[in-house]
Amino acid sequence: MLTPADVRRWDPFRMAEALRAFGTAADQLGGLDADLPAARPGDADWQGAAAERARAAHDRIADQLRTLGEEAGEVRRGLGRAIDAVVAVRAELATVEGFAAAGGYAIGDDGTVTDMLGQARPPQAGRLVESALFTGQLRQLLDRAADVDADVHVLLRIADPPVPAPVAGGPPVAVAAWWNGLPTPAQERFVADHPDQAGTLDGLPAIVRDTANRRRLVAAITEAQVTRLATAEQLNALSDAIDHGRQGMDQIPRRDALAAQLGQADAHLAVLRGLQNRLVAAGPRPTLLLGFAPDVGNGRVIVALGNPDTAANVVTFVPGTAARLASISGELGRAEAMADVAQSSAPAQTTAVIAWNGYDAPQSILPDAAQVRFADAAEPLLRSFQSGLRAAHTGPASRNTVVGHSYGSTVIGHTARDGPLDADALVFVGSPGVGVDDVRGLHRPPGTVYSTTGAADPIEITHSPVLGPVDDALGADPSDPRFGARVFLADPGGGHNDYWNRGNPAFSSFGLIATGHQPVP
Amino acid sequence: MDGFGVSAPRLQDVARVAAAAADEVPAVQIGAAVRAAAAALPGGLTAAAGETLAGGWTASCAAVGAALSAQSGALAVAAAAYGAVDAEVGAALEGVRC
Repeated sequence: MLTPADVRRWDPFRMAEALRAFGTAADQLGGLDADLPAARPGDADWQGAAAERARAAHDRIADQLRTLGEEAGEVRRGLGRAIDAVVAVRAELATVEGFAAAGGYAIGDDGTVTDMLGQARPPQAGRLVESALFTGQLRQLLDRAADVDADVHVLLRIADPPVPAPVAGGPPVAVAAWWNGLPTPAQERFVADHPDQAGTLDGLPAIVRDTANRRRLVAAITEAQVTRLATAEQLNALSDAIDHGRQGMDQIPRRDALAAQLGQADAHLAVLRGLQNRLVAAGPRPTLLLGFAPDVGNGRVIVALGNPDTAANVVTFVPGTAARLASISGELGRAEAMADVAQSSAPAQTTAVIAWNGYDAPQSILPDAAQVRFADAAEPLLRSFQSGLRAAHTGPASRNTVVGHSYGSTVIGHTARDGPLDADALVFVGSPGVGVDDVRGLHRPPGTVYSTTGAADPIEITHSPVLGPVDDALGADPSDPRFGARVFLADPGGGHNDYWNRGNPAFSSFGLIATGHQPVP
Repeated sequence: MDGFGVSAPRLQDVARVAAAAADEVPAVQIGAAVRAAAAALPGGLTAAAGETLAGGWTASCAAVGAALSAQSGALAVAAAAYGAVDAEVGAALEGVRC
């Protein structure tokens, strides 16, 4: 992301040098194009099949040369427009900085606005507002600067050959083959041109997805900031109008609605910033943003702790009811705990754990969580994601485990029941049912399906006859020995969300299963 | 058309013109122009992609130069081959007596 320090160093004179150089190049290429007919064998000089082929080849080359010259000319003209824009942006920055300095504020290289007067005394409300206004002006200015930069970037890519897109809806293994066949510049261009696709295509390397999704996250934060600022300005203006009698009391419901919108905008911004902070925080393993779609459903997000492409063990954690973008910090806490316990179980191996909030989970226990439609809709997403992990993995095949908590186990069960699911082990935790009567319906090799449910977990009520027609609405209890899974021990006094407590024997079993060992029975 | 007709000296001429152009196209300093633009905008996409972009333009020029070079070579070979065949056939006919 551009900073004021970057824009201060922008150099319109150097851009003018580039413009002149492109002009020279365009003239040279144009001159060569004008001379090239003399290199074409004439009809009177040479007749026959070979002569026709030679002339056709010449014409193709001449077309390429002419196009190159025209593109250089187009860049020359585009740079002329860009120089004007650069000069304007720099002038605006100087103006904002001048006003800020006159008011006793300093604008840091990173865009931080510091109240130089407020450091010596408690900040006043008016100063805080002024500071926020400067911050807002800077943000808008930097957005414009980013647009100018992006325009020049696109302009300079005019001569690039287009990057062929992957087969739409193709299997992740085909996506991986397509990606690996692209030269590095084409890969870079694809990520720059299509961050939405690069961030979501199963089969692409995790690092690539992370790069694209971080860009999308920055864009989403910028958009959320703009929305928040606009809402705050509307609210302030309306409040002021009501307070001073320019608007009637009938506008109070509208003011209240705006206040509620502002609260939502603040909350959304806090979630996005929290995610961004989590991505840059130091930790024992890299944090990779494998999926990010804040506007889809309740907001989808997939975060890996550790690189799944290189790890020996990869765990995909599928959360249950109420999972969404805003809940990711909770899922990441559990993912981190599982990564730690796996590390303890097999210190010589690397384990990556992925918080997969990549589906639209039910948002209420009743009626949503009693319905299978959420699991059915999630099936293709989880299936593709798991296949993508396998396709993008380098080196010896990893041991891939899918862990589902609560309704997340239902998602896993439906996916395994209805088609291939690339995983070496399935783990159900506090499950309300996985869509089948017994383990055979999951089509897994013997001994690869595990399940645990604490005796005090209220989820047991979903398998209770007291519910009448709702009993086992999502399928039989996989922790019932009759189901046929390998049942492992959980704290008998633990609740529905206590499986990740360090003292819970189920927690140790997560690490053991992830690393290929048997759980605590 | 059936058969062919050719002026080998003219083919040699156009081959020389193509060879000269083949040398000139890659010498166009377009990569330097791209690098100047990238250096003028530090911190953003353009700067980050500067080398890649410069490489793309240079490669495009090089590709046209290489194609011209190949075309020039083919024309020169054709001119030489036609000339050789003509000389060989001429020599053979020279020996025909009655």
